[in-house]
Amino acid sequence: MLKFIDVKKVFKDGNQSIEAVKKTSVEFDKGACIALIGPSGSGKSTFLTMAGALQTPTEGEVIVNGQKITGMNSKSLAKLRMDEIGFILQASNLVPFLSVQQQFKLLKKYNKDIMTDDELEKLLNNLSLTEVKNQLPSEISGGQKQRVAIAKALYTNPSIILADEPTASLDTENAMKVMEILKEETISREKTCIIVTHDERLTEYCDAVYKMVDGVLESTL
Amino acid sequence: MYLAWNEIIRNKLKFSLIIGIVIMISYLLLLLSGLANGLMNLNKEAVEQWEADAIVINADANQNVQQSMIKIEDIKDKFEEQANLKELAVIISNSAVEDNAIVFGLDEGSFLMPDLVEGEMFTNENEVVGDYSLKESGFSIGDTLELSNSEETLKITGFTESAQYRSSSLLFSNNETIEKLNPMLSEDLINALVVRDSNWKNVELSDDMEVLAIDEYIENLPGYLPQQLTLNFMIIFLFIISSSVIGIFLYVLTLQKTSLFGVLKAQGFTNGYLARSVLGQTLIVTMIGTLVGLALTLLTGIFLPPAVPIEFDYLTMIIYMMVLIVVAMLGSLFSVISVRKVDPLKAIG
Repeated sequence: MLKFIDVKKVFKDGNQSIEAVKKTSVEFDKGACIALIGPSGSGKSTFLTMAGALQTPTEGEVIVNGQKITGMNSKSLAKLRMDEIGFILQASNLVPFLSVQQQFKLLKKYNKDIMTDDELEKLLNNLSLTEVKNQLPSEISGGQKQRVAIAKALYTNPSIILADEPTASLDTENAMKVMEILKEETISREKTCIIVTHDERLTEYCDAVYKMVDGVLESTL
Repeated sequence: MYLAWNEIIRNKLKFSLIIGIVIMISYLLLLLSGLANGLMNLNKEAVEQWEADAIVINADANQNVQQSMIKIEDIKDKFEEQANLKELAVIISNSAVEDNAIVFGLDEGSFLMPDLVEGEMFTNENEVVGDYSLKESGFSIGDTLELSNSEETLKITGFTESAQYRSSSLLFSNNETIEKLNPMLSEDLINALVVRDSNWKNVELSDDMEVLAIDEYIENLPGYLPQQLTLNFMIIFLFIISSSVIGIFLYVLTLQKTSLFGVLKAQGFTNGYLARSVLGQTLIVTMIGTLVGLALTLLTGIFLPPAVPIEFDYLTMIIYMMVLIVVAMLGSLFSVISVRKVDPLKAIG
């Protein structure tokens, strides 16, 4: 469960203050898959990074699974991100010198609450990654990299999945497959999934669609 | 360590270059330490074998044994254990080889005499036992030695273990022999008295004599301290330079990985984990580098000509290797600081 209470984010630019996210109160329940749409520069990424404990709000409270994250120290925030948040980023978040399989081994060495080996095999199979398990990121395509990033985000069993354009580099077939997997994971494991996207086809897989315009979050469905 | 090790495995060329630098630094460092040790030993090897606490010499001799003269009756039975020392610098030749040497005139059973390893002990006048370094220089048992400053000749009857003194080889003889070579060293005169007595400071001697602790005596051997200081300074600067070089290399590597560290931080990896990874990588690189450097040093030692005074003290070498690893780790702390400063938000764009 993810909750924003009167959250506001202001950036300073010289003498100017820019309100990236205006005062927002919103709550996303477990099992909900949310689409967040809006034009570039509207504050979507700022919203997402506050939800992911990567930056703190100027005002208000962000609550993850009942835990106030505003005011936590950097070590606790890192632990929260590792245990509770699964990031799927636009930029590849893969370690360049680790093979696909080793990317998961690294997480396994760091985090105890992870998928079983069978679950990982199934996930890799569903994402058509089994054959590239031993390849380095530099040896696989952009679409495969994106799917590995998605598998990594799901591997640590996070309660919240934050995806920034997760299907941007995928063809339609793979994009739909990814959305089905995200949707299934969200429902079966009671996660909260927030997807920032420009692709309107993805909204079909979501329970609610929010639109961000000039820092104001509005529900559209 | 998983991250650190796999990065090394996947970037063999890049890390081989860094390991290569560590190998060269440790090779130079360990060779220097061997040379320093060898040079020091040239001066003090024999003195250390005495296992003495102090040495008594004439107060006017400026701590130079050959310039010192002491009357035996003035120091008789003063210390728990004591040995008379008469010494004379000579140039010896067996017609094939010429070398600088110092002749020691010793009493029978003197503790200044090292263990015999070959041949027999001198029994008659003009018989001498050489230290093993003379054998390595080309002298043999049975050789008749001509002396540059005397008409006398000496015959080698055996060799003791290596025992060099003031950068010269030693010849051991009885008092009668040395007295023939230098009539000044008559029956009642000696150059110095070597003392084994932990209580030596409390023994009263006449004002014309001074007692030096054996370590102080070694430090005052001509040329010993300047040599030691020069080599030690070289080693210290090498430590400082090597930590800087390794530190800079690792810092550049860390800067190249800023975005990766940012992404890993965004995923929840802590500063501590990433710092351990950087330090672990430094440890692996320096350990491999110093071990290969050690192997190369020992190999070089085998092939160096005997004239090069290299002598390896394994404990010192291990300490130097450990210090090199520690200073490299200190150098990599710059990288750790830069890891702490990486903003995950910036790294993920």
